[in-house]
Amino acid sequence: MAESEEPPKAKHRLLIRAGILIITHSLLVSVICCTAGVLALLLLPILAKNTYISENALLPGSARSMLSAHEFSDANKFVKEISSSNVEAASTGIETPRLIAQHIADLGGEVSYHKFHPQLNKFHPLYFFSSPDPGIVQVNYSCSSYGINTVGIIRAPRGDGKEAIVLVTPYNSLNITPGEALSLGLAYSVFSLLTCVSWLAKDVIWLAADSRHGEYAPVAAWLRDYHAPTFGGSGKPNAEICGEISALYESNANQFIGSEIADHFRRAGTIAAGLVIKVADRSVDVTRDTLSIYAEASNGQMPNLDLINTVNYLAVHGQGLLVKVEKFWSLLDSKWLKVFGEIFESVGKMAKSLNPQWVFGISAMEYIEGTATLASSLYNQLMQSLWKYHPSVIGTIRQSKLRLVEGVIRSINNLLEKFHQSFFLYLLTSSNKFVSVGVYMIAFALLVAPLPVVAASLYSDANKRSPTSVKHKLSSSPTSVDEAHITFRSWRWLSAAKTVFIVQLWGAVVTLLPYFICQLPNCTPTTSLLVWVSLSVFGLVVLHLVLGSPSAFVSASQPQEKEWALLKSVTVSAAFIGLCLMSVINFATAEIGALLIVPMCLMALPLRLNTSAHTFRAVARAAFNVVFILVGCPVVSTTSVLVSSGFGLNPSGYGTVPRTSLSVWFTFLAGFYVSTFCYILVDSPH
Amino acid sequence: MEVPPQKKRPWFWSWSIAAVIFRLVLVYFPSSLNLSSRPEVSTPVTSLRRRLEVITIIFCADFVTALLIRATGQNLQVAYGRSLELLGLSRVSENSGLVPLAAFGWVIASHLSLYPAVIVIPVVLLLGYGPDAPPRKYLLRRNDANFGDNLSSDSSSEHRGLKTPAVKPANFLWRPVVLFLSWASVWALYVLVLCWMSVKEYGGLWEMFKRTYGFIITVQDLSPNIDIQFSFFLFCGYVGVSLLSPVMHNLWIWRGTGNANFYFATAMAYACFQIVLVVECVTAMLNHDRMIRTKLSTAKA
Repeated sequence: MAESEEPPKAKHRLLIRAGILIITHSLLVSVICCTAGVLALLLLPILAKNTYISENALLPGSARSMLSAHEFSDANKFVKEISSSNVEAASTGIETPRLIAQHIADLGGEVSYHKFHPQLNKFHPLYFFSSPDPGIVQVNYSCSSYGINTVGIIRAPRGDGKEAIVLVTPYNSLNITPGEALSLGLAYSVFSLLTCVSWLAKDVIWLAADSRHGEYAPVAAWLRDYHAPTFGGSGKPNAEICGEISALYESNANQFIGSEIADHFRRAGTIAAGLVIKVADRSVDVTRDTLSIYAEASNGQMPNLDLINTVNYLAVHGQGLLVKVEKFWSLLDSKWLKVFGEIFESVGKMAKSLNPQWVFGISAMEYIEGTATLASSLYNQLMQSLWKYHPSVIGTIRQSKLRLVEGVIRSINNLLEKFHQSFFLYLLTSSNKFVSVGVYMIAFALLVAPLPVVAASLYSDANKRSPTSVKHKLSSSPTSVDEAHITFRSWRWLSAAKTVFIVQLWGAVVTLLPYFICQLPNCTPTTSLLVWVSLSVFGLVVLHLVLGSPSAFVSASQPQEKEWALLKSVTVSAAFIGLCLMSVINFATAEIGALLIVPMCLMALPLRLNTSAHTFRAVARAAFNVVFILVGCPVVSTTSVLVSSGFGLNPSGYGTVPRTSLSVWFTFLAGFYVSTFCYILVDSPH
Repeated sequence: MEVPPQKKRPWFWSWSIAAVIFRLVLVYFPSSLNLSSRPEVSTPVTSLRRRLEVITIIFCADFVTALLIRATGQNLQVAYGRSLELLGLSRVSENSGLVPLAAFGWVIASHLSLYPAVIVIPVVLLLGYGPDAPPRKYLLRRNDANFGDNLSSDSSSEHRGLKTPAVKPANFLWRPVVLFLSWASVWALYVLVLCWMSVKEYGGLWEMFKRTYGFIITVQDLSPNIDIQFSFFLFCGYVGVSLLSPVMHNLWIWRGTGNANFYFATAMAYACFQIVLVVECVTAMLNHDRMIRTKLSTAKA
């Protein structure tokens, strides 16, 4: 009935014709787009632009330094005192805080102690939608698991106290290395300078962070308490069970007349910028002093590029330091990268010879370094390590370093508003070159562009058959027991969508299980891993039972290829939506996820459908599928082991701990692996 | 707030009888109204393909859903009156037996149609917490006033606000919820026993579960009734845009790298999909009308 009366197709508009053309040649389009995406990713170091100071108010280097030899000698004295006190006293860990507090009080700043307990990494699945609850009270902590941060605050004489600049110097109070003592001395000298300058308009906070439980814990705890005020008496000193701390409070109260050590939390306004200063210990013989900048992100948020630009500008042009940005050293030796670099260099030279204005080539060495830096930048954004911290100084204390820190603080001091002008979304390829979001998104878009094309082509293929089979079912007796087939052609994807949704749900549950498993008391790593694996497999079995029965009915009404095509189409569309959303949240996760997921999505095919045709192409495709699954599953499982081990079994929080975004990516990946895995290897008609 | 019970009852019964009659009319006089061909009215729930489902769906599902809503409303009224009493405003009569009725209504309604199953969440919350109105701050303020008289000699003023009032309307009471769940399971078991008895010759209860997921209405009836061309594209678009909204919230509020324009863009994308959906629905209905008209004209000719 329907086929004979089909009206002649009207000529479509140009856009629709182009769309239909792309869909019919979906294979070619996907190959081209994928290779273009990967190529664009490799081209990024060449497309990097020079950095520039975007906020005009910063004016780096325009003021003369006010540091004198007096501050320099004070710093050296302070370093000697710290080193000697550390050697003498039995390291109870309160000598250095006491010393620092005494010096800060002598300078006239406000000083307070911040006692903290290193929290276990509190991952909660809903942290993406809200900030972590600051009111988490930790109970049953022993006296050995605490740390004392010393906080010194200078109130700006001309400021209104609304904004603050934070200087962080981490040190291990139980065992101070010479480098940490140097960094404390550097911060002390800058602090002492800032107490007597007249141009200070923002408050300055010096946080001497006790990193005996890891570098991340003290700053995170201080930031958490800083941004989460509690009212009503919680600041009053409780009956201190731990003897040392009460001794610390008492002794300080006795020693200082007129300036008491505050025992409540002191604040100083919103934090405009933060600098973490660390002096390296290794006595490498370098001819020039070097400055390493670590621009690190948390959950895909990078620090404002202007801050890095300011430091870089002052270091290079002001003090003549050598500035380095963190990079993957292993990539510097890779051969294929060298090959690429040389190819690009030759192409650039050729273009320049054709037209002298086409200057876009860079040397092979620069390309390799740029790629290593880019990879490191992507990796740091992915692993969301630590907090946003910036320059790190290598070498001994020199006046150049002091002047650098003073210059940076002076520039930030000029700001009227928080950093807002320059980029927040960028990738660094060297200390003075960056790739902004508008450029790296193109590479990502090219990589994921095949996904909707393939989904549309599969969907139109699945719907192409005329609904004769559907009509036949309609005319059969209505009393036949319920068949789960859809009468209208346009809604046949509903069953596939339901399947994909259930599998994704399973993937999400599996990813969130470690959080709940670690709530169990007395779980060792092996038992929790076993519990997790067994629960996942159990879920998979339940899934198969639930999904297994309806497929028998659907396959009766439509052939298995159609069902597979619809399923793949829905999965690929879901992958596309997920990747696009992820790219907004955390680009690095989305990019690396796309590099893994897009080939898998495009090449997946059920083995049973494939084995009928014994061509080389079919065999190669089947082999690729199997390899991908076998390689991917261990990757997925090891990453999940890492994730679960990061959740509760690493209390020091040292190093990189995956957080929300990685787990979201992981849910995603787990869901896709399972949906592909199930229907490649397990799909069977009953 | 007092309503005399005698006046209330005839009013309720007359409306319920009218509702039943209206549904009977819909069932037994379909051709004169020609409702089944109108896609606006002819949803899968009211589709007239099978007599049995007609009776069960139109009668029971709607009716018991209405009963459930009424029971919830009465519970609300009772609790409202109770909280007014706390404010010292009026006295209300007791009302019991509502929880079992609510449980019955929910079980029957969700057994027949999928939609009422989601009502369980607000029902549980209502039963546990009591209603929102009047706001809790009125209660606290009134209790504080009481305490103010008593503690006028108390010098620690910061503790006044922290003392809990004598009545705590904000606590979650488990008893009505447990009662509701137990009654719901009782009624569910009863319905399942009835189903078992009726499907004994078709393969038993397990067969029914496998094919209908525990519902009498088949999956087929839950599928949409209109043939829209770009349904898949629209569905993906809707899913994508709805998921974009919390992402933009995170970007704007927690990260500071976004602003309100992102919300506007999301709203515009959503509106675009709405436009496509409306156009497709209208086209489908027009095509449907055209098809019927051509069929009628060819039948006449």
